[in-house]
Amino acid sequence: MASYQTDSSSRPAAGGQKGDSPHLCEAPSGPYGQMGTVPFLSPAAHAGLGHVVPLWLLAAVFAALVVLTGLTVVVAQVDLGNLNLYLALAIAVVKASLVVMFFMHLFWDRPFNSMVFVGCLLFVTLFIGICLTDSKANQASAIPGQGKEMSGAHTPLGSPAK
Amino acid sequence: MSDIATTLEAHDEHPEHLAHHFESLSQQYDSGKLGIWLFLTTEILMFSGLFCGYAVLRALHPEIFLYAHHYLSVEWGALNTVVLIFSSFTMAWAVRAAQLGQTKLLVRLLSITFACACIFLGVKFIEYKAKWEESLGTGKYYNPKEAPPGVIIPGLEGPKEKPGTKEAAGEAKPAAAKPSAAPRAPDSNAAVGEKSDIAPAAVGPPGLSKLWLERKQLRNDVIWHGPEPNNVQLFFGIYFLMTGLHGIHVIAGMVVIAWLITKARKGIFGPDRFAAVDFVGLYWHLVDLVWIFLFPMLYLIS
Repeated sequence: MASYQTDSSSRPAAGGQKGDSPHLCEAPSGPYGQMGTVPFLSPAAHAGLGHVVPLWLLAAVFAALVVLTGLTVVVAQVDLGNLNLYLALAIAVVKASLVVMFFMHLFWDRPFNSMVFVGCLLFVTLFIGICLTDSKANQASAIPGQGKEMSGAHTPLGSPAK
Repeated sequence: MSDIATTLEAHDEHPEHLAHHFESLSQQYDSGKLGIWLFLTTEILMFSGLFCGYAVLRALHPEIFLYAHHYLSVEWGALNTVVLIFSSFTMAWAVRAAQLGQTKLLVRLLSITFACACIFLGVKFIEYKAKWEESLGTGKYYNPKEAPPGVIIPGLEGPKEKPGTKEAAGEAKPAAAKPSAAPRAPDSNAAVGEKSDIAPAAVGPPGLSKLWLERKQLRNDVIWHGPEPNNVQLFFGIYFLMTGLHGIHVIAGMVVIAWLITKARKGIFGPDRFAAVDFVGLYWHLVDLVWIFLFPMLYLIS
């Protein structure tokens, strides 16, 4: 709590601000950063509005995303069995983390926003996880000999002629 | 009470874009940002319903996905991924430009982002059109004439039945028709390129280029054991719903980006007024985020 109240003291010294350092805020702080009664609505500890991400970091994240996209395409050509799915998802998670942390500023943002986001992901995991366990727990039909195969309207290609 | 009094006294001094119910610009910005994050949360939860459907169907019937994903073009999907990532990059850069008050750069970057969204939808249109022409819909609209490209169903009448003879015939025809055509072997290796310039190499004893082609064929062709699985149409139901909902989000993003461009042209964005750009950016990155998962889940299945 204290850090929110003593907002001006935690502001980086004016002399220490270099143009593109990732942890310094370039936006002028102005006279509007003094109120702080509600913790997660009060001014940021680094003062000013938001955080200016250096251009080199944005470009680096972009390059990493393109490389990871190439990697996921290449990896998909190699047959690794079940590992393929997990590998593809792992790469996607890494890419998503890069986007969320740097493009979406969550790395420098208020922790409460991260809490909202991670909380949402927890609910998504719960939702999909429980649905998956449930879907595996049922048999297709209670009637013997029934429901072994779903039948489609379309006659499958390569099926024996009737 | 004294806080209210000071706020009232300071009324004439506060910036035009600071709403009365906020104490400071910081508080206004942080509230807006929290609001956008909550909105993105609801978006993720909405998409998670579709992701859940995908997960359940893939767990129960993996064969549908293993078979049907061959109908999708990895090249188009990868291109769209890169286009969307690039648009995310220009959007993040646009937020930076707005924060630094670089109006011209901001308008330019927003326009590039908008153009990328157009390219994305254009590619999506090409893909959807191909699906439509091949009768690859869902439900009763799934009536393909052929197995997916690269998939061989033994016993299925068609040009893909005998890969060995088909390949040789297919190789001989273009070589005979267009002797001066560019070699189909990889150009990276000069020796291979020279070798494949000789037209009869394709029909005569296997040259380097033919070997390469055979290997490529072997790598790409999938021998599907047994007939097409049942209910492949469900894959296309999922495909169209997921990419369609994502596409609607792209269109919504384009609308707000266009609105931002008109605002940015007036030069209203600056160091203490960039929230609109920032928040649209957050939304746009979420659209990118969804696609980052959709691409491997739909296009890259093995």
